[in-house]
Amino acid sequence: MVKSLIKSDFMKLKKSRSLIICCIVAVCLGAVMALLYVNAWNTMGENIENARELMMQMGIDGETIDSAFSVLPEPYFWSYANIMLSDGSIPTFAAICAGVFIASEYSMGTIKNTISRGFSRTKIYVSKLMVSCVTIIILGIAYVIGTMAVCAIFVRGGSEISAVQMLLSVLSYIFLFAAMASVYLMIAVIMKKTGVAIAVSIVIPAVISSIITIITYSNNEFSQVAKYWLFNTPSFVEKMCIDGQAYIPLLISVFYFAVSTAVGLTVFKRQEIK
Amino acid sequence: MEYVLKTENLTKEYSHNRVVDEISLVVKQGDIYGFVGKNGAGKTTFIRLILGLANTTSGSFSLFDGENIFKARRRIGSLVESPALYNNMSAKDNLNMYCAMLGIDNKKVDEILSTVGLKDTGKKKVRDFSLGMKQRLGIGMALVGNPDFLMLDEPINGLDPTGIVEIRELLIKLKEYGKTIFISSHYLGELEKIATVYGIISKGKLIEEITAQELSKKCGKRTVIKTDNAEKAKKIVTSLLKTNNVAVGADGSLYVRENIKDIGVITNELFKSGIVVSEISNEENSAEDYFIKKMEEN
Repeated sequence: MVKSLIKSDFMKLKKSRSLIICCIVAVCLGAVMALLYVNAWNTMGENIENARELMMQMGIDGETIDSAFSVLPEPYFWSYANIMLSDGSIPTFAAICAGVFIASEYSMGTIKNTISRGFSRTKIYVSKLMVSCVTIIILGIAYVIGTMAVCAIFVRGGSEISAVQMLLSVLSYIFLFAAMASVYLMIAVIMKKTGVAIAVSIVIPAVISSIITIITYSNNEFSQVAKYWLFNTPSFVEKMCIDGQAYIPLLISVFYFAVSTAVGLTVFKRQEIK
Repeated sequence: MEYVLKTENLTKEYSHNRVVDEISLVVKQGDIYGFVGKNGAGKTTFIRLILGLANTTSGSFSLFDGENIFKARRRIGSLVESPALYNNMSAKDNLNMYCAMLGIDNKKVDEILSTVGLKDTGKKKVRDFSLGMKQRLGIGMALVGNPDFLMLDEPINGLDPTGIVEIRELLIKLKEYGKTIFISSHYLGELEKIATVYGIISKGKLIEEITAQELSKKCGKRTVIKTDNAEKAKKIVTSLLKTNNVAVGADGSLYVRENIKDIGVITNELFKSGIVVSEISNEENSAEDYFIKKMEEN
């Protein structure tokens, strides 16, 4: 029974215009962002050392200088892919798709067709969760494809990190995105209205991220908090993998995935469907 | 099978307001159960409880002689309020998708489209459908999987007169195939043409359950004669009309369960026998009148 539910959910996803539009926008945006970084690197790349020296002469500490230059990816394929995966665009697209795909089931009333035909709510939720996870991964791939298309022309291959570290990073991103998909599904199930679900999915994580950033900068005691907030964790993935802490993003993903699924499922099971 | 649906004191409260109030009813196999009530009487909520779209406050219900509730619901086709459809898909895609969800073959999709009069809609998206077309597709969705029991909430809303006739004929045909149908409708006249049992609901309470036969007895044509001697008049009228359908009512009036064509003859004969006739009239009471009267009483 779950198999047939998943099959029909994927049929809906295939017919979903919002996914196609988001994928096209993701490819284009990925390409544009990559072009911007390539251009920035070309402009500044050769003068980075001079800039570093200048900043040090101005009395700026080394950590701040490194942080300023970390925005620019190293001129390798992987560096570009990594910065794209962590820049927050993919979750935004996923939030839109989840809002349209899940919450519209409520607004169109189609969720009642599924429930009234004897499918348990747990199975329905699991099916939607799987589709949401696949959706965010598709969007991630689309975004990286756009980036890679530009990189293929302007950037040399290879990477500064090892193949294992790269693989761990990719796996971490997949887990983190799956956890985000779970959070978006939970929000869509609670909100039930497409527009509200999309707005909440985009605004709330952004607001919390901003608050955490402010706290982090204002108080050193909380400097580590940022990396435990799901929507900030991607920025730390590569460093964690290099430092042999690949388990941290994995644990963070599992935690958010479990909590959001538990909350979403509990709400869904008690919900009255109109 | 003893019953298809059985409820026992089924109750639903919203903020201490009883929308469904201890409803106990039985829908037997092969019935077309007409669920009659005003707007807000609790008809839709009752259907939503059975389909698992809302949670019961108290009471219980069982389907198909107590079969597992999830399995039993697989045997129910439903249409609740407005039809729930994917607007970005065609009628056929909606049905195909529904077949996929139920894990059944989509061979009968064309047949269903033809049955509900939508076989010529082609690739037209549901968003471009009229209200009546959406309603037809909603009924088509309920028919997917050849369910044994149909729960239809206002199925002829938005349909044109031809559509209403077609749906009525379809429901009668489905009954002939042994399907059980639970149908709520405001169109009492339409319901009267197909239902075999009626449940009248008012303010969440089931106020009466009545079979179509009982209803016709209660509602048929009649003649009311008011005299100064009802018992004597009864004998004369019975003898003149050669019928047993004559009774003296609690109010002392004489009731004949048919319309008398020659009122003058009867009046004359009663007068000759020394009976004073103060009033004589032919009355016709439709099922619609009966339902309205019942609902207003409560």
